[in-house]
Order: sequence, then C-alpha cells, then structure tokens
Amino acid sequence: MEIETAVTGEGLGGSPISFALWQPERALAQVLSQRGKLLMRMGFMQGGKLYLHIEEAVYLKLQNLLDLVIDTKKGREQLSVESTVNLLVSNGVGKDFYAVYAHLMDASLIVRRHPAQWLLLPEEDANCIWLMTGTPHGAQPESMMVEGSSISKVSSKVLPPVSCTSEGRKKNMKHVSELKQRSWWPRPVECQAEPPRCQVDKSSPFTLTPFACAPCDYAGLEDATLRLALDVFPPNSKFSRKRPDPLIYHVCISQGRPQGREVMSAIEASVGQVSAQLAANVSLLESAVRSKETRVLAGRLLRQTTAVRKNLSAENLSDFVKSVLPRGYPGTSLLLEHLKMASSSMETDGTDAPAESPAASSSAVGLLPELEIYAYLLVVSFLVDKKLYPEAREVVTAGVKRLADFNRRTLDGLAARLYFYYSLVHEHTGTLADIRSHLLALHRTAVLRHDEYGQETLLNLLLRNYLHFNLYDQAEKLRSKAQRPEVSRSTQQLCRYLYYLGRIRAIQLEYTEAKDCLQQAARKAPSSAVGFRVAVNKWLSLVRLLLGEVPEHSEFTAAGLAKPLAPYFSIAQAVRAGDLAAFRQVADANVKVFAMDKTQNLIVRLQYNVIRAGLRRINLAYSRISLKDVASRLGLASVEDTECIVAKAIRDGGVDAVLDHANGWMLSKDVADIYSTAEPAAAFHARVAFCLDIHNEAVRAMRFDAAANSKKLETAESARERVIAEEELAKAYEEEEGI
Amino acid sequence: MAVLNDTTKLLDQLKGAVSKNDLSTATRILSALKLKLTELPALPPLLQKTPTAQKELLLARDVLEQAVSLSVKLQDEAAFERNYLQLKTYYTDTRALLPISQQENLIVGLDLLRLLVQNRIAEFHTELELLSPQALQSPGISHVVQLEQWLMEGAYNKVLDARPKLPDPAYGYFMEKLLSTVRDEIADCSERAYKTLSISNAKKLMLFGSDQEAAAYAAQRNWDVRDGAIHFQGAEENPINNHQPVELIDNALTYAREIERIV
Repeated sequence: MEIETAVTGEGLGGSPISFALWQPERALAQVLSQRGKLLMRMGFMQGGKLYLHIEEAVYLKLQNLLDLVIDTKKGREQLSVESTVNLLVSNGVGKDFYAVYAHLMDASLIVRRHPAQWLLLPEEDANCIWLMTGTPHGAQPESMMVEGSSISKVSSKVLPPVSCTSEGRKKNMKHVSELKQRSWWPRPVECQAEPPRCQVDKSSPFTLTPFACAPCDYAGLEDATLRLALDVFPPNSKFSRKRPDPLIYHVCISQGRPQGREVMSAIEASVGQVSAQLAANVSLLESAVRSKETRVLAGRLLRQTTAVRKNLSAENLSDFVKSVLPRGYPGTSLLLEHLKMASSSMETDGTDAPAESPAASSSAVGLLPELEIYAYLLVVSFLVDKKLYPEAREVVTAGVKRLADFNRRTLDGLAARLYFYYSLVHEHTGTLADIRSHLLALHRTAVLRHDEYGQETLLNLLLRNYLHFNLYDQAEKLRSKAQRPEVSRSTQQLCRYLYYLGRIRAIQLEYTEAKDCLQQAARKAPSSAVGFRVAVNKWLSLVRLLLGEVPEHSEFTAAGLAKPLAPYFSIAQAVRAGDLAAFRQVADANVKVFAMDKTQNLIVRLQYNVIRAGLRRINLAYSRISLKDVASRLGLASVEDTECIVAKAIRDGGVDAVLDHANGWMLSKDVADIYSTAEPAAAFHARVAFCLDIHNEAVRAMRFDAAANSKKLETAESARERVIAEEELAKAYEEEEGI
Repeated sequence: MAVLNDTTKLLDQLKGAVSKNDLSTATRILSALKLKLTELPALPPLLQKTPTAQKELLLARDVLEQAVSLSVKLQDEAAFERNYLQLKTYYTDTRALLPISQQENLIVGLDLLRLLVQNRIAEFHTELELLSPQALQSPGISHVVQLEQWLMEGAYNKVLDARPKLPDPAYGYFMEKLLSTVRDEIADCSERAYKTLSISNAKKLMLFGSDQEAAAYAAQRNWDVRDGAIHFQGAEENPINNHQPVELIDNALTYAREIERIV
C-alpha cells in the first residue's frame, strides 16, 4: 500500500523523484512516473512507455532522482541503493562501464548505449538491438554472465551490430553522414569518414588510439576485444528523442581496470572533448541566431564557453578557428599566428599544427558574424588565461574593430563580452587611459542602438576606467548623465555598477547611500566570487565605520575573506575601542595595503570616529571628569584641543554632556531611559517598513511567463547549470579583481 | 609663430602688472591674453601636435597660473574657480607633455582651501583623491589637508592658531574667510556645550581682539549677556514630541493598509 502511494508520487509531498519498475526478464526498468528534466534525455520509448537500462537507472538512483521498485510475490518492494547497484553486476554491466557512463553524464553530455536509439517499434527486442554492448568484455567473470540466463543466451551469439539494422539505425547513419558535411566536424587526420573513437588501453598507460578504419567497418572492429560501448551526444537541454542531435563520438572500452577521473579527462581532452563542446557551442550559436534568441547568446552560450575554457589548448583552438573561419579571411591568419606563438612560447607539445583540412573552407559564404566574433572571443580568453597580454591586445583590438562593421542585436551579448576583454587586456598592459574615448564612443553607439548588454557593460568599464585613475568627479558625471536600462540584463554588471557607485558615494561623504549600494553589491555577488566580495567588503566595512556603526565580527571572518580583510579588521577594532594610539599604529603599519586599495583617505577620515568612540566611553563611565584627564586618555595633545573637540562632539549629538570652562570639567548628563523616548518606536517602525518593503519587492519580482507552468522544482540538471553559471561569474570577477 | 611671440610679450606685461599690484591693468591684459590663447592650436581640446606644441602649452599654463593668482588678489572666488578649472586640464591631461610646474602644488592647495571655505566637502575629497602621495606631502597641500582634519575633529583652536603659519601669502584671503566660518562653528558648539561662559573666555575661545568685539558678536547672536558672562539657554526641548502622536497614527495606518494588501 505504501508503495502504491509512493509510486504515484503523492505521498512524498510532490518531491521530484521518479519511479521505475525493474523487469528482470527484459533487463530493463520501466518508468512509472517521470519527474525531472534529466529523464527527458535518457532511456528509450517503446509502445508509449519509457524504459531505462540498468546503468541509467543506477545513475538516477545514486543522484536520488529515481526509486526502483520490483514486483515480488508479496507485492511491490522498493530496492535499496546496494541492491540497485548489485543489479549492475548481475546484468553484466561492469563497474568500469558504469564509471565511464556516469562521468560522461556528469559532464552534461547525453549518453546512450551504442547503437544509440531513442524510439523502438513495439515488435523490436531491445536486447537484440543492444546486444549487451555494455558487457565489459572479460572484466566480469564468465560465471556471472551465465547467471542472467536470457541475456547470456543473446550475447553468446555474437551478431555484428550492423546486421541489426532498423529504422532508427538508418536514421542514425544518416546523421553521421550529415555530420560529415559540417565544416566544424572535429576531424582527426586518420579518420576521415567516421566519428572519432577512443580506446582506453591498459598496456600502454592511457594512450588513446584513434582508429584508422574503413567506413562502416563495424564488424571487423567488434570481433576483437574492442566494441563500441557508448554513443555520446552534445549537451542540449531541449533534447528530443524524435530529433536527436548528431552524435559526437563513440566510446570503446577495452579490457582493463577502471580508470581514474584524471585519466578520463586527459583522454577526453585528447580525443576531442573540447572540439566536441566547441562544436556544440557553435550549433547552439547558429540556432540561437536563426531564432534571434539573444538571451541564449548572452547566457547559455557564454556559460558553456566557460566550461570548456580551462581545457582549451592552442592546438584545438587553431583547429577550431581553421574550421570555422574561411581560409582567405583576413582575421584568420591573425588569430592563427597568435595561437601559434602562444603554443611555441609555452612549449606544450613539439608537434606542428595539424595539417590543414581542405574541407574547412567550404562554408566561407554563409559565415555568421556571430561566429566570427565568437572565434575572436575564444582566442582572446585563451590568450588572457595564458597571460599573453600584448598578443591578446592585438587580437582584441582587431576584434573590436571588426565589431564596428556590424549592427546586429544577436551580436550584443558577445560584443559586450569582447569589450570586457578589451578593457581588461588594456588594464593589464597599462594603457587604460588610451581607450577611454573609444569606450565612450562605443557606449554612445550602444545607447543609440538600444544595445542593453553593451550599455551596461560599457558604462561599467568606463566607471572602472575613471576610478582606476581616481577620477571620481568624471565618473559621477558620466554615471548621473548616462542612460541605464531600467531592468538590468545581468546580475554581474549590476553588482559591479553598485560597487562603483558605492565607491563614488563613499568618496563624496554620502555614507548612507554608499552603504546601501555596497551592501546590495555584497549580497548580490555570488558566494564563489571571492575577489569581488573582498573588494566590496573592504569598502563596506570602512563606510560602516565612518557611519559610526560597528560591523559584525562575522563579516571579517567569512570563508576566504579573513586574510585579505585582516587590516580592516584591526582598524575596526581600534575604532570600536576608541583607542587613538592603536588606530594610528594600525594605520601606519598597513599604509601600503590601504594605498593599494585606494582607501587611504577614508582611513584618515576615520580618525574623527575613533576620537568620538573614545569620548563616548568616557562619557558613559564618568559623571564628571577633568578635560586634562580626557586629553590624556584619548591621547590628544592639549586641553584646549580637547575642549573644542568635546564641544563639537556634544553639538553633533555623539556625547551627552556639558562643559564647565571655569573648572575645566566635562559633566555627563544622566543617561535617560531610552524606553521613555520615541527611539524604540522608531526602531520598530524601521523594521516593519523593511519587512513590508521586502514583501512588496518580492511581489513585484514575481513574473508569470508561459513557461512558468512547465517549470517545476529545480532539477539536478538546472542545479548544475546554475553552479556552472556561478563559477563563470566568479571567474569573471577574479579576472577583474586579481590584477 | 607671431601669435606665440605676442602672447609671450603680453604674459611678461601681465607678470609685471601683477607684481606691481596694478590689478586693473592686469585684468585688462589678461582678457587680451585669453583671446590670444584661443589662436594657439596645440592647446586643449584641440591638442594638435604642432612643432611648438610644448612651448604653447607651457605658455598657456603660465597664463592661467597668473590668472589664478590674480583672481585671488582680486578676491574674486568665481573667477578663481573658472580659471582653476581651465588650468586643471594642464595639470592632468597634458601632464605627460610638460615639465612639472613649480606653482602647481601651491595652486592646488589654494583650490582645496577654497572648497573648504565654501564648505564643498564632497568636492574637496574628490579632488584629494586625485593627488599623488608626493603632492600630499608638499607644504601647500598638506597644510590644507591638516586644516580639514582639524575641522572634522573639532580642533578649531588649531585652525585658528594656524593662521600666522601660511605656506604662501596667497592663502591669506581664504584663511580670513575660513576664520569667520570657524568662529560660527565654535559659537554653535558653545551654545550646546556650555551653560555659561565668561566674556573673556569667549574672547579667547573665538580669538576676538577685545572683549568689546566678543560682546558685539554675542549681541549679534542674541545671547543673554549678564554679569560679564554669556548664559546659554541650552537647546529647547525638542518640539518633535508634539508630532509624535500624528506620526504614530500615520505609521499604524500604513501598516493596516499594507497588511490588507498582503491578506
């Protein structure tokens, strides 16, 4: 009974767990209730039902996205994690096979057992089609195979998969041949006709052998120890089983022990994982441009690029450039030249650049400007990663120049990113002042064209440019006059804008507004953007001190912030204690740090707050004290000074006291009971107003779009996407702050 | 070239007139000079790279520096600001093209002092951010920076004491103006901080020349002077209390309205 309710998914309060029924006789799991997005790209459909292979079921189970149930005599029973995993072995799927599968799945790729089929006719037998290609070929003892009787029967008569021809198979082959038409297809030299295959070989550690094989020579391949195990498709959140993307490569698993993750990624890098991801990005870009989806271009494409960025090498980048850009195109040689220089200066591999493939120039006619700019972007980010700033500057300057030739809204997101690099590279080469007027011109153009990405990015770049040279006046003038889109297109840019604005306000002594801005920036910044958060918190802590507030201790001790914020922490301690001597000592000791952070002048301003905090302590502790004692306690030079300073503090309301000039005393007034004043009511009101404000903001922020209904809770995949997005954001900040 | 020579001659005349304190002549020459400057192509905003560019820039900077010191002598703050803003371009944008001016720190310090006197503290700090650490050490600027800190802290007596120690006689005009500002500040503070203060003490505090001056000032501020001492009434009980019920009702009504919207 319990299971019954669980199967319908109602007993669990709508948690997004799918249920599947394990059918031992077919060695398949039939999905009973489907939840979450991940299942959309797994399993195959037959007769309107969704079936999963065991490795798919285990993967979902371990992700806690699926519960596997089994029919017994007693009714349905839920399988535990261990027994689910045991099913792997008893169905002849080795651990190495599963490790490969899970790793590829973790990389957001779409993975199927070879031959990849998504839809089966009702009369087809799944076990005949897949033939236990997942069998790890000897990694499992023979006896284990015999146990699963029906399966071993099938697998004992070795049929080449080619003979298992079906509708889906043909379709797939068609895809493969279509693939070959595409110019960006990753093309290992030896393997012209087929997608590249990789082999994990045990004997020579982790070498990867691209197969030199005749077209469609499946049969010859499969008889030996090597068999095609998995087919891999590019990531695609809108995957459809009816129209799968062209597959990127096959994976073979040879005999041997399961390999470690590092080995896997090394293999992937060399077998063209990078090229595959780039190829996926290109197809995403092309489809987005076709459908004029600017959001995809600014969002997903750049996110996916970040994912691939750390794996880029000069070789596969130049391959990419060669395949994407036509050979005669003027920009191509520039890009390639710099890549070549990059690779030679790094001395990665002594190998020459791969021979140029003649097929590459075929797509010269319909070259998308987006694609061209994307190539620039990749090359620049690669050069920046390798810290080759002068080279990067040349490339990015050419890219920006090229951008001026186009006026396309689909370019905006990419262009904004290129501008960002333009400024970043110039900052590194110390020529930031030279590009200011160019940035201003670009900003003007962006405003005229309603290019919101460009406007936001360029405004921030300009503010950064001005603040770099301490030109707060100009920055404020530009900021107050420049047009800003009402709704910010990107949180990153909004965070930066708030940070710059907070800095301007702090310099202008408008501390309340500065605090608001900086606080918002600190809150909106993702937790992984440590560099940015450090910078914001430095300013924020000073502004709060200048306002007379004492920052929380925890603000200085958050993970990653403690060390860089240490000088600011000691400053805060000195201000809180009202100890002028300690304050001066800290300020002198860290003068270099403060000068570098450009906060030296704020520190100087803090002196007054130190004195006032000290005075307040004295005021609370003594009912009457001579000014001479006050002077010595605060470390002030003379009694006359002290008298004036105390008088001003009284006037400003920091201290509740009266001076007696004739006797040289400071008389503290009795501390009134604060609860007899309007103070508590005011504090209460401030809090209530804050809560109401939050509520109203939240209501306002809720928008309903058509997709809202289909979007349920966050799936594992979208969670991963979000993590990737955050990492990218963090990286972008680090780049900016780690200068 | 001819323009350049003419301008140079005029500049010499201007310098002569300024040093002789012939202010009306100097003003006349200055307006002629400024017209001449418009004929020089190497100056901002054109910044053409003529062969005599450096000479032209130097000349223009000299002229404007003279103009600034002239406007101090004329005690014309608006003209000072105008001239300084023109001059500032030469200190920032064309800094790389010219040798550093001897006058620079002094003039920048003067401008800071002007901002301080006019109580434009935000702009004061904005300008301060632009200065290099070396410039901040120079006597003209460090003096003004120190003044600002004293003002912030409330060490008014130090500000008043600093009067005789001017880094340059040009500072005198603004310092005098600062004095009256400071005196008002002290008076403000005294009202709140003291119950009574003898006239002689007040004289000392606010640096008046004589008791009579102090008494006149007290009368001007409507202070109650009895028996040779000033009696301050102290701050009146805050009248805000009267508004409290109204405010309370206001708040309660707002809450009610907002909660209605939520429910």
